[in-house]
Amino acid sequence: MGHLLNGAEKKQNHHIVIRFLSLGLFLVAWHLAARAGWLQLPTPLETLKVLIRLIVSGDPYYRRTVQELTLSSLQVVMEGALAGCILAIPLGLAMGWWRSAEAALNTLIEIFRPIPPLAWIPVAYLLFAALPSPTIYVQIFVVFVGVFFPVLVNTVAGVKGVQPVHLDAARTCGAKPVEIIFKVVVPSALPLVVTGIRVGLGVGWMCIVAAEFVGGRMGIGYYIWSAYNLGGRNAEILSGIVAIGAVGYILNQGMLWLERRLMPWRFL
Amino acid sequence: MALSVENVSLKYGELRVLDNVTFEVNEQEFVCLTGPSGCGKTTLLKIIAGLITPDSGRVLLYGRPPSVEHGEIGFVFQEDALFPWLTVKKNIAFGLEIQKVPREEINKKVEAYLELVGLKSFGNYYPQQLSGGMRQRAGLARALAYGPKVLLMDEPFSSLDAQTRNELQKELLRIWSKEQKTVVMVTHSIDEAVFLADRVVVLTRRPGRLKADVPIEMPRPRERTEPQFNKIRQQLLKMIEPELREVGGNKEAY
Repeated sequence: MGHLLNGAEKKQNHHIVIRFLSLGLFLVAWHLAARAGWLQLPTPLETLKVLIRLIVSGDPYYRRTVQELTLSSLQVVMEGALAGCILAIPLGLAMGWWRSAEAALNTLIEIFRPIPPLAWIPVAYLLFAALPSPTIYVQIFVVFVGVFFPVLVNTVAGVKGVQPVHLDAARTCGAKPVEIIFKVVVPSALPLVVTGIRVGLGVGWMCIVAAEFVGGRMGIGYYIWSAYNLGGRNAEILSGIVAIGAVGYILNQGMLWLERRLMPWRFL
Repeated sequence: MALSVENVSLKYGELRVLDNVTFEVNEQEFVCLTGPSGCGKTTLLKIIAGLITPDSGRVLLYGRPPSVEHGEIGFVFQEDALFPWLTVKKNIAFGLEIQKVPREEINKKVEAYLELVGLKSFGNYYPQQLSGGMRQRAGLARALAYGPKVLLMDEPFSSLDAQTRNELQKELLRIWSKEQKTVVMVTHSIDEAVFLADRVVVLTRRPGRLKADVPIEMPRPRERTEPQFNKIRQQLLKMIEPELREVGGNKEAY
């Protein structure tokens, strides 16, 4: 037993070393490349200085801290993701459960699914043109598209993956169709639904940054794009990039943590 | 008469699976249902459970069609049928919750059945943390906890190693005599049928018809090494062998 534990610990330490090693090597390479003038970019240290200033006192041109800008984008992502889940999960359950529902909707969905979410930006501006501030709706809509399809596809797969013997077992215990759906189909499909949400949030986060390039005056995407247009603000751009990466990382880790909390039986 | 299967027939398209099967099971009787592979044993058991509707014929439990919704059927499956997202306790409570049993009573019953199947200290484990034999014990507890009128078992021990299997057969007899249940169990193994059953019902190869209905008149506990045990075994094997030859089945499996 002691040996086993040591082995496991060693393995874990090993992972941590590798993680820091790759990140460290990347930073060193970046630093050297920037110093040597191969990259027209500030060094990691210069970027960090600017980033700290942006966190503590914010950007005087925008009167916002980098976390305010980032959280504003994140809020749009959450709204779009919520809308995407509210529609995709019930629809996915129905399509996974009833062949007729899948047959009826599949062609439509498979035509829309390959369209990049960003391609909907102009269409969305047309759709929401009549509203007082269309940009926010456009952004929510684009995130919605980005979240909707991964959640839908994974939910359908999750429902189809329900073990027939679990359905039979529930029926022999006397479960009626509604009970079977909530007590067997939903928990069976849950792991893939949550995976779909995790993937969807990642896509949604990419979508919002790009959507903010195009319109609006808020958010981290708007910030890095307008910082570029002002010129001479390379460290600000890179700070924004670091913030985008950090939030994406936290979103993914948060969902992985949620998976462990929601589905302890999968991590025994 | 606890359970009667009357003239049950079933086709899957052109394939005749069961042909006019009739037999009866007395209250508290232990009946094993056997026959060559593909003879429709499992299908017949699912028809009794109400999971499959036959093309003709009927199943009566105390004179009425069994009501699976009201928990009259307990079913133990061949494969691992526990819900992996529920602990052993919650798996056993599943049928009781469906039957809207009050919470306090559920807790009491869950404890009682955990104890009955010998899993008292494993209630909070998840199925995948248990061995195959323990999982089948838990499956048995889940099927018994809500007090079904008949217990149906579909080759419940077929995936277990020989030792665990023998151990669980003894356990099953102990639980059966304590619970005083009517049991119908599908098995591939003549040895298992002779060890467990009051009566063995033999089906022919497809389409499954009733081939024989053989009472095992041997007192329990039965010993596999006794001459009488082997005599009954041979007698049953002789009945099944011609069925095997016709499909080119694998004799050794029996």
